[in-house]
Amino acid sequence: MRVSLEWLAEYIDIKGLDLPLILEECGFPVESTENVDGDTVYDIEVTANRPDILSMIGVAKEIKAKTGRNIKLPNIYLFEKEERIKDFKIQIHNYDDTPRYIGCKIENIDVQESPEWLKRRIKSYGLNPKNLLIDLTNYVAVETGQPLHAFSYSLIEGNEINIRRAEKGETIKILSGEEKDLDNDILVIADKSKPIAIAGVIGGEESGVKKASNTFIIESALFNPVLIRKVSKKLNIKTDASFRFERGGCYSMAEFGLLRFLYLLKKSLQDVKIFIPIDVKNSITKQNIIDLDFNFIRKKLGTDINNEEIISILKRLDFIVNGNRVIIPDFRRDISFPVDIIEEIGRILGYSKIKERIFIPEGCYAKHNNFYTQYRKIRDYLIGLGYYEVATLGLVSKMELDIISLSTKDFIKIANPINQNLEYLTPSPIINLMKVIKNNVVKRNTDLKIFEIGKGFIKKDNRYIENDYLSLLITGNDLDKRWYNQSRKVDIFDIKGIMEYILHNFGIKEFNIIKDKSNYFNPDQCIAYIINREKIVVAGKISEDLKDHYNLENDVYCINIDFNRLMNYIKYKSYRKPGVYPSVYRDLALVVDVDLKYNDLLQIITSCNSLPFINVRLFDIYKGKQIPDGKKSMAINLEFNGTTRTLTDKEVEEVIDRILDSVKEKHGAYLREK
Amino acid sequence: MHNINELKNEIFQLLENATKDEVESLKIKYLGRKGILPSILRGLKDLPQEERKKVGKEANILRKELEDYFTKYYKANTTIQKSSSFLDYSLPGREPSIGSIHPLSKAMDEIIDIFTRLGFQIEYGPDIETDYYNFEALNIPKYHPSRDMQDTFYIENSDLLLRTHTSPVQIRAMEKSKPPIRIIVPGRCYRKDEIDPSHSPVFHQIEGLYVDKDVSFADLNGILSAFARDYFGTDTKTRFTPSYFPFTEPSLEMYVSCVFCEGKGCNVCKHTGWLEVLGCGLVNPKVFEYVGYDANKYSGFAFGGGIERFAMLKYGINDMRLFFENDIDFLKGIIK
Repeated sequence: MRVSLEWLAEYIDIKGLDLPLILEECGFPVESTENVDGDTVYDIEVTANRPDILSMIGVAKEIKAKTGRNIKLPNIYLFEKEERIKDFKIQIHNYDDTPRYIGCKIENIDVQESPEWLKRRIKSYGLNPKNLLIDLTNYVAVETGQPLHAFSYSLIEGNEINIRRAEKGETIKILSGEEKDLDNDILVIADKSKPIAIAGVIGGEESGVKKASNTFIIESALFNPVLIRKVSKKLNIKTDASFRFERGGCYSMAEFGLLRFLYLLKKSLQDVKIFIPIDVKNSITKQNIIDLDFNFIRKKLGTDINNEEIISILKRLDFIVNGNRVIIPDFRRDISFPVDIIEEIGRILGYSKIKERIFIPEGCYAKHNNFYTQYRKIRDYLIGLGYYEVATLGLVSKMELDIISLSTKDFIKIANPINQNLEYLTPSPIINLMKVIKNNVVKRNTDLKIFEIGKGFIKKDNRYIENDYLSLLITGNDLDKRWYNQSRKVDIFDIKGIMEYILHNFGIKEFNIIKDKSNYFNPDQCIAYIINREKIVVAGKISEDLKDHYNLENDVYCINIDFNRLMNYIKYKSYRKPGVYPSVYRDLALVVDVDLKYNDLLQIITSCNSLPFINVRLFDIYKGKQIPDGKKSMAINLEFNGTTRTLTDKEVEEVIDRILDSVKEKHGAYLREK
Repeated sequence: MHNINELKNEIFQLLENATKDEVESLKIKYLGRKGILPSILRGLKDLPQEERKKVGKEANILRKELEDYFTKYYKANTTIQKSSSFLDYSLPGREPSIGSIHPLSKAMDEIIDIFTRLGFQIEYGPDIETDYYNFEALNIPKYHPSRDMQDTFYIENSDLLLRTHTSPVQIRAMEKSKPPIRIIVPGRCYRKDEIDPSHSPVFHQIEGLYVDKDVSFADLNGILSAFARDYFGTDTKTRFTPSYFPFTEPSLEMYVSCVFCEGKGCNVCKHTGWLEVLGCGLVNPKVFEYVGYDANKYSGFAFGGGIERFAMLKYGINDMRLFFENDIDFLKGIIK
């Protein structure tokens, strides 16, 4: 709401007041200040529950409540011996839609330019002056909050106005010249045969103010806010009037607004002939009365404000205090419950006058939240390992989804997206992380380690499923180029190492790794981690298609963890006293077939062991000179420990012999000659 | 029969006049794996018991003496070498490879930590919501003008939507348990806003709710002011001004004294000295009706704020888009 201070000063003395502060404490902060032809104009933010503040009088009343200064209401037209209109009918078809409709006939109107003072006010509100009649209706709307509308009398067919729902098939050409199709959801002002305005929203082009007319019907009405909002949404038309009506009009202001208009009209055009208005209204209007409970107010606010002060505040707000009851004026439709009174006392008293209290009640012991605890733990591990946490929007395009899937039927689409790039909810954070990689690579940051714990969304049998994922991506070199570093390109074993570190830190010992397939990954380098027969993690090299889509040169490796399911297996690690007896170490360089998997070797070694503790470390893989074609050498360091005693050479040699026999028998492995 | 004493004299005499290389070979000769002393010790098992004891003891003592000698000898020699070498201590140190927490998570953690210390428990809720939880049960009926403040994304071919705020979790939490209830809800929210320096279609909120007997504005003031002082600094002042949210009555905005100019007035606070940081209020009794709480018996307060804003104010970030671009150079942060 734009508030001209020059205009506001017509109703209340604002000298010496810190208006921005007062307005803010009332709940209507000044958003911006502008100078319009030497007049200061505030743009104040008005909440949806306070349509009364969309008027100069409303703003003045708030200042009055807060400061106790007097307010001067504007002059209105007083009827004496005016004529009644003959041969004109106004009919409200449904009082729920239209609680009140006042029509007033005016004659001898010369549609002329507005006087300077009026133009100045209209401009201060941000409108362009048009002509006296339109400018006056706008002036009154801003001054009183009551929108008015003028119809050319001669263009109202059949001398009747009907406020009714439109019929399917009816149309109207609105002021902008656009033709709109109407239907039964839309309330219209109609003459005998056709709609001439969309009620509370916009007038028709034909019936509007024309220079040639000199007789008009001025409408001042009250419409159902929800209905007006529906119509405005449905037709996609927003006007100053619809903005006001959908927030709710004021029963008495419909009359006051019209009378104010007539007063100003008569002052500007002496010769105007005004008829007695036709006022059609629902006579049953409810007065809002609320019980006044002083203790309730004190208790909810947490302050010891006394009864007199409460009454004084209510009176300044034009509330009528009658014993233990408060009668609410009809311009305050937002006040209907006892708690609403609390807000009024609080804001007029000033919340800063109320003390702080910190009380942690029994029964409010905050238990830890497992998701958050584990999220934070894994995040901190990864940060320590050089990974950057990122945050992405989680929305993707159809084009991106097409790379990972043949059809988008399993994905969740937004019906009204901002644009095509943000049309779908992402099935996992991977796609967005690829974008992060791209954005950084473009800026020449090519060595990246990033992760996000975010949601993935899919549709399954008409259910909408959200799941938390930890997605981690690496690309480029493993280390920065520095004087002390020898860096190399990252590969799938970087990913494996991180994954096993994560599992270890979460106390998960039992898992299998299998070869897997996924649309995100290169078919040759895709593995899955299986815990308790559940696939919890898919990892590997990002597919060429995805890589190409983001124009990436380097390979990208990725881990995608189903974090919700992983959480089911998280255990605290336990600790043990380290051994006091020395370990025995042996190195073996075994020559095996090139396609022998390390894991096969490892299984034999561990199954051959009969000693209390064994640890196997692979320290070299060698192919080439001294090794026959089709073979490779795997050098292994074995650590044995007796835990409660020192091992003898003999026992260790026995195990080594068993290992050598077994690998020879099963895989034809033999010791590499020194 | 070995005479260990003779052996000892012989060795130390040789060592006395030895060059550096000779010392090395003497060490191998006497202490090496196939050296004299280890051979003696290995041969002990073949000696008669009485002799075995004596020789074993003497040989072990000698071995220890020799080991000490060599340790001292090498230490003395290397020290001389080191002191003459050049150390360029201006070379950059080896950088540990450390990542970083996203500034939004950092702000979220700090805020969560403060509220959990004040006894608020973390609750989560779904991003995909129903109209009932996101609007209706929060006293925002269809065609209510306040729905304009939150332009909503809808899910195609369904009556679901993406939550526009974390407030639906208030309803879910109250449906689940009886008062006293004291929760915070961190989470992602969605609104149909174009991306610009102060808007994003996806953003984060933290929501709080406390319901019990006799909860008043003084409690709201106490908890939220304590939070503000803890998060923005001990000298931070708070101020509450009326606002409007359908699910609270009264509704308020909390302002904190500007963290950049300490209330003197600057560009960030538009020269007001105050920054708007969150919306709050006493729970509207109508909301209690939806969840079946007795509004005569219980009262409560709720609040909600944008994490992006908290992070921007605390870490001096002036463009919301930076959070979601994830430029590594941004994520690393700087020391001012």
